[in-house]
Amino acid sequence: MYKKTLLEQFLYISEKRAQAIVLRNQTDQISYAQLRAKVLAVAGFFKKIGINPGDRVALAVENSMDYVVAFYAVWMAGGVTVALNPQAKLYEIKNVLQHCVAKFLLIDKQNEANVKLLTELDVRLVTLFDNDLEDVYHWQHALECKPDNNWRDIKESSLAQIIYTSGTTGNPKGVMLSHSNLMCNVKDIIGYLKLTRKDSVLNVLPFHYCYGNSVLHSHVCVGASVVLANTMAFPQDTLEIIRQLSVTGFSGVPSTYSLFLTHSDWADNPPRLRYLTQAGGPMGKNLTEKLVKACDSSTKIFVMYGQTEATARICWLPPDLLHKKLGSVGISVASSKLEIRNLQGQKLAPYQVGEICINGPSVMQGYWGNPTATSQALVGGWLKTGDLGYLDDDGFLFIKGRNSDMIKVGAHRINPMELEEVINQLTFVRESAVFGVEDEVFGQKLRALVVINEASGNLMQLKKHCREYLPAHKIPKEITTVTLLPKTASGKIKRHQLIELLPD
Amino acid sequence: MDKVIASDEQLLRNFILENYLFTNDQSKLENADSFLGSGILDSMGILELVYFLDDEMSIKVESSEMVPKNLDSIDNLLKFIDLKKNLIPGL
Repeated sequence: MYKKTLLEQFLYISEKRAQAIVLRNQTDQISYAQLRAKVLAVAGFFKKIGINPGDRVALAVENSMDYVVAFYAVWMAGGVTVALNPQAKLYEIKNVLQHCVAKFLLIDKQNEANVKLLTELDVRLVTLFDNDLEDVYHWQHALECKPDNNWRDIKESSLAQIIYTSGTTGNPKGVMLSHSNLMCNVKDIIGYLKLTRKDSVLNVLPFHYCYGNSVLHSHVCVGASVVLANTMAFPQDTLEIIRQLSVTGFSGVPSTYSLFLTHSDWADNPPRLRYLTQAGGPMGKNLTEKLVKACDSSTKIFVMYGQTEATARICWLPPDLLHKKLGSVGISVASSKLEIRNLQGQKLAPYQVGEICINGPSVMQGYWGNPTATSQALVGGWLKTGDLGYLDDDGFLFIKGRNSDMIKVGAHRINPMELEEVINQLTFVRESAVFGVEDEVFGQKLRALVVINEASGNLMQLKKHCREYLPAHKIPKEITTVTLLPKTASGKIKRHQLIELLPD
Repeated sequence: MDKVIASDEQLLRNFILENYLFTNDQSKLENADSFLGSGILDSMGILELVYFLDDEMSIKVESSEMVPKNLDSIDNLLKFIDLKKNLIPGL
């Protein structure tokens, strides 16, 4: 039996599992009791500095123990968390802060160089690093604050978190999730993964995305432990952590597994894990089969499908059916219903391809400050995912593509229009188009086509500009100049034809 | 020997500067800068670096060698390459 919200569940489990380790990395660890004490202190601090129920508090903090402390403390003060990519460029952070009218922003070392510029914004800053700036709150003071045991009464229907899936265009999409959304989805996940307090998951997924967010909360909810490793850049190192810290579970996207299989000794010496989960884009049949072969026979592999707009998880494939239903992302989570619909919104029969639609308690409240996008995505209580697929006779979902133009690079979901907006800022660029091309390891990689005004600028300048305004994962790997972009009669870029313009 | 190391260094520095920092300004990259820590490379960049070492410098990086100690800065790369060359004479 779980409490009504993740916060209440955390407060309950942190007493019950006081001495157990909740978070660890290679050098440090923290028990539930220690985490609870820090959360209570920081919650006291947050209330003192004026975080009130419903206030948005942005966290531009990498996966860390401090991130988790801050996250629960915001909820204790009644606030709404808005987790951002700490590597996002200043203008992206600024856009999101302005869009959700954030009252506070927490930053870590990664934004130390931007601290002065951030103080000029209409937001109060809390820094996780020391500095002597005035009007900036310091994390150390927060941790030293008197613990506050009283959490503000939060309704299950209250807004808990906003996750931005697209932040920098004129059409920002901040997915609004209630406390109830989060709890329902986490309960579904715990149910099919059969998570218990004995589990220990290694997490390399960013907490600011819904997948990482769900890994964190589903494990904390049952009193399990989460091992933090923040990059997959060195797969062998990550695998060693799995072995050294007796991890029982691992969550990744297809590229994570591809990296393990090609750049570590996973296949020669498979780690003894109870479960692996895969989401964040379809994993090809070949890679799935290779992964199965490379895993210990006792390891259960969960192929999953989800979307931020449905909190995180929509479908899961029971591991025992992985071979029988290869290529499927499984059945809907226990609390949700799934339908395939045509353009008119009518339910389709098995094997007919249409839009995947979801109904249930995990469906978001809407997009923050964007009623138009909300009314397009939510129709009669059903979420239109924008993904295409079909159900077989047994109700197993097979994904057949996407309606939208979002590009998936590793764990990142990238809106090409955000990048085009940045590229088009340069005066010598007439127009541009960004799209994804297939990549063996990362699923897709970014390519850009640009039309430039008569030799007035060069590609190096353009790449430098991208570097200045975009984080590493959003910079197109190759930029090619063209004389014209293919367009429809109404002037929209024909994205499916862009690949044909690439040189051989 | 010194000349060879200097040329490796220049090759690596140019690869990073031109492909990830998009500049020819040598002052933008310190040899001790952590590629990951300073956001110069992400996991895709590290993989591209591994391919570059193989394709352009004939340095094959084994899975067990794909660790920060070998790849996460120009300094680390130079030490790693030096080690590989000593292990495989004539490389």
